[in-house]
Amino acid sequence: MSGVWYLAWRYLLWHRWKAAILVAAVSLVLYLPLGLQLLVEQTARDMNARADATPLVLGARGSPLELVLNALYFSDEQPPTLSYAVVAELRDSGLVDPVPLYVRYYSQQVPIVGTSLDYFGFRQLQLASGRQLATLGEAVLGYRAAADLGVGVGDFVVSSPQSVFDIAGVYPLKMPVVGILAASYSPDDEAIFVDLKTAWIIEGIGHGHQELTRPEAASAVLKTEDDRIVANASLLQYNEITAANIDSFHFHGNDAELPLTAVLPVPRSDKARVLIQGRYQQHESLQLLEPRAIIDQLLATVFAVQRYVLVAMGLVALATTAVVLLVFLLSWRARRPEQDTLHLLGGSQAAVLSLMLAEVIMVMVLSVLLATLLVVLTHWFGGPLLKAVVL
Amino acid sequence: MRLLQSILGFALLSLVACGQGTGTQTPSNSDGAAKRPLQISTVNYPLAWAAQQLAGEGAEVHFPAPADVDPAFWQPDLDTVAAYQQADLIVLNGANYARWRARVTLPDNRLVDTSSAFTDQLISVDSSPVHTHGPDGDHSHGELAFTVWLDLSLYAQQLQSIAAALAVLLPERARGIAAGSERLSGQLMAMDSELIKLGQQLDGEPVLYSHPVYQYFGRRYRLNGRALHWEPDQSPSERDWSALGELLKQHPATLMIWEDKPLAATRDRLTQLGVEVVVFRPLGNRPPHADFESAMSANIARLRAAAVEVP
Amino acid sequence: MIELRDLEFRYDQSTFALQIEHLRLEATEHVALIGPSGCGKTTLLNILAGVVLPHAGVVQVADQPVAQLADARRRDFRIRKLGLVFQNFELLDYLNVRDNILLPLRVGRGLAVTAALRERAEALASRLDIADKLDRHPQQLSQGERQRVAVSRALLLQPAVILADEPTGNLDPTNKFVVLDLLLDYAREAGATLLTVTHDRELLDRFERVVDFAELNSWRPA
Repeated sequence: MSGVWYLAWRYLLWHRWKAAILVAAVSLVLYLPLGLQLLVEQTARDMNARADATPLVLGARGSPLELVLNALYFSDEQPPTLSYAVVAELRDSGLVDPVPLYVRYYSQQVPIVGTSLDYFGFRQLQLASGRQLATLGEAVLGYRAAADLGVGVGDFVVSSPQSVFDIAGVYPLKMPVVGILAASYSPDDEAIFVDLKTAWIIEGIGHGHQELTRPEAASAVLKTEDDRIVANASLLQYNEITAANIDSFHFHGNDAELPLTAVLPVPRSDKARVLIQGRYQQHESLQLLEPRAIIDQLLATVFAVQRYVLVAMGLVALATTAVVLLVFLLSWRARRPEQDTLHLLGGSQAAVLSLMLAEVIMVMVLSVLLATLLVVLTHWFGGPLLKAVVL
Repeated sequence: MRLLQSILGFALLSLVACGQGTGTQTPSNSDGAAKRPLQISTVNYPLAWAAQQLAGEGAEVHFPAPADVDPAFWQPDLDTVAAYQQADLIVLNGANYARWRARVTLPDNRLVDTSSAFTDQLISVDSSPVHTHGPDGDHSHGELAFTVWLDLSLYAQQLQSIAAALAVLLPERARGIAAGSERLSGQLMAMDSELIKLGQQLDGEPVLYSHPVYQYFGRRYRLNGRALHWEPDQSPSERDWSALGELLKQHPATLMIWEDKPLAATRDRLTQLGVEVVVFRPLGNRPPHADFESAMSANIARLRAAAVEVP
Repeated sequence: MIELRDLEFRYDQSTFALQIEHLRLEATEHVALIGPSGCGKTTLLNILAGVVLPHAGVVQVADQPVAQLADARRRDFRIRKLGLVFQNFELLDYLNVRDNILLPLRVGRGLAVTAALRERAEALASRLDIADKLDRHPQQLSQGERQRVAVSRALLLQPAVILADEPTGNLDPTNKFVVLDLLLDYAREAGATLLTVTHDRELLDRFERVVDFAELNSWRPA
């Protein structure tokens, strides 16, 4: 190593804390705008990819953004519900293949997506292990959801109450994990998929209970009047669907009135898409959206904010650069005796100047390396962080 | 100088790595497998027969229930459920037939409910008690009669539902499917007319059914029927005979329609009571050595012969 | 060998001046230059080392006309031909003992830290009894040890002339003789010229010749 480079390196090592702080400061100045740009671009790319893969979303009238975020990204926004009857209406039109969604509940902050088998074909989701949903009460998990919850095929997941104080609300439903999906690099990786009916059971719309005419349910009978049996609160309602009790599960009321949070109408052709959009354009209670348009609006806001943040970062960078230069200058002044020593020993003015420049260059190079490392880490791990914030 | 080169090289490599892979991946397309025949799965034999008649060589029709079970109460195992999930078209009877349907997950967009066009004509057979628990008020876990195909006019509508679904999936065969649908509907309506005449011939004479599976049959062909719960391969108990005796006092039937041939002893004792036995197979599962058309024709022939004997 | 003739030097902002008619040290001579603090001894050493240039006169050191050399050549000469020892040691805190000894190689033009020079540094350290401290930093050494590091640095390139400015000024009575004897031993072994500036009269017996700076400098304040 050339003399002055060696001396510069030794100086930085000796004053490692000062050097570390300088490197950290310069690295941040270099990284932050790049990192922000990368995060925003990555997130935009991922969100756009998801939006592009979903031609249409149908939901109840309300906030379009809430509807799209819940239907595509399983966010915890709760759009108003629409009735299951819409699914038959869409199917009967012959224009689209509807995919219903009911995204309302969670298992330890992992969203539970009630849907039909058609969803898996629509999203081209493949199984990595286990099998597909077959019977009521089963769950298939995205690979990240399975990792986060620490479960595999054969284990169980339990739905969480909507709030801690939801005493009179839904009972947690224990669901066996029958399959884990392969990575799709989409929000599907972080979701639990159940049959739509299972989601309604979690809601409490459907349930299974003891057969009231059987002797073992006698203690649950409050009174019998003619052909009516009134049960009391001790009636055992099942919170796990098993082979023994599956036939007892039922729904009250008309199936067509059961709730959904969204429907994904998959057009059979471009013409069909236009026709279905025309049908729902002026609908009183429903809205049919193109997700890409909604996401573009959201991202436009994000990009606008990003521009302001970048300007602020630029000012901070200027200030930081000034401070760093000041530190170098003050340091160099304080090292006058060292410069005199080098001069006395035979070092030229150029050598002494080179030593200072070598230190500056080393700090800059280390900063660039650190900033590069941070950019690479951001590229690989930063996306989910920002998505968690945005969504 | 060498150190500087190394550092710059590392920085460049890192930047190149940034450009590799965005973490998103285009899902691989499904296999471009050779075009296979359309796979159709049904929940009972009449629908399987209709689907095969209409689709011909363009499809493979699967009706996986074993031959010796009543498909209405059959429970498929997980492998069979998976096979249903893989079908291109799943033909349902409707009217809550195939109780297993409610507990399994099937791809909704590949289902066709062949009773959806006449849900207002479905017959309710409320068997469970009304009960109340929670805020939702009275309700029961009631049932619908499901042997809709025994009303041949409704079966013709089921057949037309299947034809409509097949025309979408096999557009190249649409014309043939339409022609087949018309032909089969004609055949079914011809048999329907015969049964209507038989009903008129019986003219409200009381009849008995061995099992409550003739609701649509009785309604369509105006039979004055009451149902028992007698199994062809089991001897009725003395209590059953006693109950029959009481029933005959209010409902003096001279004809009893059975799902299958009863035991000889049962037949003889019924004859002693003045009740003639006629077998009219519901054909929910595949008949031995026959198809739906020939088996139904045989049903009609037996009923015709029995009706002649009714005083 | 060192020779000065008709040397004249004056600092711009000061009334102090040097006027030396003649001074000669033979190649193997070991001379002490004695005088009170502030009388100009260090300035004279700086002129001999080529750190500052006289206004007039001849300065010959190790057969080089130092005052007439260009700046770069003077510096090269200072590194390669002279061994400089300072009262304040002039060590760099952020370098360990080994790197302090090798320091001239890192600032000199065309010089590099070779394996042979590393070995010589370690040999010098061993001879000066600081071999076990090569990885320590100056703050971890005693005054005497620090001066021995400085001496090792001065002797690394086997100089023909050693200029020592108050080399024992900051040392305790034991160490000052130890360090001085080290310098004298080397000068004898290498046949080098040793000029030591000191105000410590206890050291004078060690030298062959003592020059009184007051007699050498003919300038007198007005």
